[in-house]
Amino acid sequence: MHSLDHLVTLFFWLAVAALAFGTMRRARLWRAGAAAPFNWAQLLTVPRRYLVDVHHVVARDPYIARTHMLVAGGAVAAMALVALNYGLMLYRPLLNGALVLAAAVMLGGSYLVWQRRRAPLPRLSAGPWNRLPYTLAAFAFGLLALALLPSALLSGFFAALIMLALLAGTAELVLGIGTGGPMKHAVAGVLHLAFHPRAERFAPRAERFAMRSTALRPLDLAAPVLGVEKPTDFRWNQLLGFDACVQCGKCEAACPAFAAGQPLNPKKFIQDMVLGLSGGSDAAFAGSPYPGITLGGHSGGPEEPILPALLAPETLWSCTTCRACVEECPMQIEHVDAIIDLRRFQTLARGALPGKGPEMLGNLRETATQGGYDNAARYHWAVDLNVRQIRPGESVDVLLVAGEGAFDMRYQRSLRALVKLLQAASVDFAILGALEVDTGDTARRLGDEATFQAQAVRLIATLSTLTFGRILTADPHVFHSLKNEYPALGGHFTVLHHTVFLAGLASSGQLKLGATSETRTITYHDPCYLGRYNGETEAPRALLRQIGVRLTEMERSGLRGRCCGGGGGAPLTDIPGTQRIPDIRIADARATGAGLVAVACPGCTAMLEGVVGPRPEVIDVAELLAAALEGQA
Amino acid sequence: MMPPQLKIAALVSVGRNPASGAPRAARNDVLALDAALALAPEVSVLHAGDAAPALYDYLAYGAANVEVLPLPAGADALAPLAARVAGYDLILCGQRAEAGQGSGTLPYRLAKALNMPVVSAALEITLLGDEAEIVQFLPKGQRRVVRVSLPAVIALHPLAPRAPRYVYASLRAGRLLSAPALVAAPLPASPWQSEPAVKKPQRLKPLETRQGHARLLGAIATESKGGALVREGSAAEKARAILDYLRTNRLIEF
Ligand code: SF4
Ligand code: SF4
Repeated sequence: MHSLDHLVTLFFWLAVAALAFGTMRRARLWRAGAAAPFNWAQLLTVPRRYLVDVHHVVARDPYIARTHMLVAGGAVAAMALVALNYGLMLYRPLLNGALVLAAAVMLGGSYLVWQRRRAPLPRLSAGPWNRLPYTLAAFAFGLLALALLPSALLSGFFAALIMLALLAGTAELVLGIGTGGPMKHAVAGVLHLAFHPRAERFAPRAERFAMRSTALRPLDLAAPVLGVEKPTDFRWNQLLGFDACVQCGKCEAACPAFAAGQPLNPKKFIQDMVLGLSGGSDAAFAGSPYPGITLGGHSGGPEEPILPALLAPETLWSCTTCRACVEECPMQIEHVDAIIDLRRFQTLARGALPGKGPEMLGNLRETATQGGYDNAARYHWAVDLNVRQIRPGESVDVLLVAGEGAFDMRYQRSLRALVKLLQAASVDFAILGALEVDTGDTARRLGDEATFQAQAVRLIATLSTLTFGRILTADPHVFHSLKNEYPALGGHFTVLHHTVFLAGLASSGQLKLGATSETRTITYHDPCYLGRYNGETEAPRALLRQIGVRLTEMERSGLRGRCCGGGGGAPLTDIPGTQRIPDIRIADARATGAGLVAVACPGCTAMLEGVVGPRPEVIDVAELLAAALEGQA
Repeated sequence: MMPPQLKIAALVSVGRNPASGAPRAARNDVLALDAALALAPEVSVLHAGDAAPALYDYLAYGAANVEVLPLPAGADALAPLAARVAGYDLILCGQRAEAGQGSGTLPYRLAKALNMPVVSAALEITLLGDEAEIVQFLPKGQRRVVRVSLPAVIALHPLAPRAPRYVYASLRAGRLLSAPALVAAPLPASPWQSEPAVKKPQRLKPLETRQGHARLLGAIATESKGGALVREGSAAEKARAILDYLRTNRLIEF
């Protein structure tokens, strides 16, 4: 009575063939993308990347972490055992015993999936994803019955039932990749982890801390296509990455633009890119649409321009490049890179940048300032502070780069506070003054790589004529581009954000701080470009602790902080929503009962201070410290 | 019926950014170029002068190439331009340059030399056969529609409602072409003289703090307006007295 066993063996090999065939079919779509380095040996990195990096993200939601461990662990173990026992025709009862265990674990996991989907969170996708608990359970049940019950005892009817359950489950597992079903994520996810476009993200912890992989890649300005026009202009491993999405919607829940009712949802964006690579319309999308845009109106194909048929321009320009989606994504998908690639084409090849974007870029090209100011006025805020202006041939330890905030009367107060602190700590410093030009950072986020590179080349040339030890800046955007993005263009500098530098001075005792006289409840807003982009969440908090502030944290803080709405040139493109992002962030602050929000970025200061009505006061960390300097009246 | 292919030229100059003085595409000429490209796919974009880097901006704004008519320094652009655009149906330019004399007379002189009509302050241009209908800018929000028979010279108003796009890819694809040198006459003697602008010192006046009655009394009385005469002390002390005065009257903010 081995006929059932043989049947399973046959099924097994058929399933393997179907999986291989489906994977090859899907791989054809990925391979239509642009070239990227490829090495089979990368597959060996998968277990570590999965168990460390993916788990690190998934574990934030312990329920789903356990669930996935049971389902996926059980399934992988079960399939390995089936491969051994049935695939190789061993038919050992002992292996069947182990199979019982694995299948039971998987069945338990499927139950948890089912529980989760009984009252699903709004961020989850429905549609085919809703059948998953049933097909997974069918697979586990089929295996369980097969391994548990001696086939001799089975009636023909019962045997057929088991085979049917097995068939349904197996079909879900192996056909997903070829047909684009939910289980596509298993194969694409594994390959995506192996061939991830940002391999540095998986570097050992210490290295990753020194440099989080957040810098954009430089664009070759002589390339035939500038950025991405159609799906096949993405590099193949980016296309593969889109396919790894499990539609968990964690990115959607974190996205400030989505929360503000702007027409952007990072989950839908990734699914639209999947549509682009495989072709079709978005009518069948089973998650939250872009706010304000109904489903069914967009479609695309691998060789068709993505904008505007597949993606509305307003969606593209709503993003603040805050990377909250990337931080939350368990599949390590790189949303922001894809958005910037699309923006590059729109800006460089079409000039189709909305709002005040074009004006700002023109200003940068003509005046080296974003606001079209006279660049010689950049250091006017410091004119009465007895601050040295650096000159070629004179060396200085710390060079202060002010950024565009130097033209803003509000931010000048923060800069002046910073100077006061540096003077109190007797730091040997100078400002760049009128020699300073804009870093071009905002141009880069808006996709204007040409203007960014021109600015960068100019600033690097200026800096290379000067003698200084380190660069200090109070602007996280300046900090990020100088520290992480200039090296690729030949500018290698030691760059410090003022909170980090001051924290160093304070802990070494060079900066003597007293206690703050603030009695209000204080919360701290993490700038995206300091926190998520550079991993620096501790220094500002340490400084505030030092002057006796007991922070009340907002629910979204640190690496998972919510954007103020000022990143990525979003205030310039100014895509309307139902709310403004800074209003949401101030509401976050209010919810803590804070009377004061400490900030560390000119962009955040401007955005949060722009909130009308009664609100907590917005004060830079440097200002709070300057007010708490020891020995002052 | 519209003639199959109108010959359209756009005249462009090198402008300057008002804040930095950096050379750039003159905004008004960019509008002229953009208006020309909206009327015909092929436009001759002409510049009389040097092949300045700022001309690349016009490539970004959509010119397939910019033809540079060499012009010795100080020479009048009129003759080479007039010779080059003879036979064109429509010649568009900005109303006034951003650099140089900026007298805004070139469209008129060019029209005269070519014996064509000229329309200035154009906001919108529509072609109707061998005529062009132009919405003209008038002050205080008024507009006027005029028609002109082609060929004609049309100067665009700086407020023409156009949204030219700066496209790097088109800058990369375009070229500056240098045309053979033509004979150019020196600029006509200008009736203007130039002299450096002098910034006149402004008198700082303390804010009036007296009440109305006291002010009226002050107008009929001849007593002193207050203040102090500082004769004694070192230069530093005198400077300090002035500084104190400025501070107490909030004429300076530090
Ligand atoms: S980067 Fe921020 S704004 Fe952009 S899609 Fe991601 S979460 Fe949304
Ligand atoms: S992109 Fe990532 S976070 Fe967003 S739905 Fe897909 S898997 Fe989840």
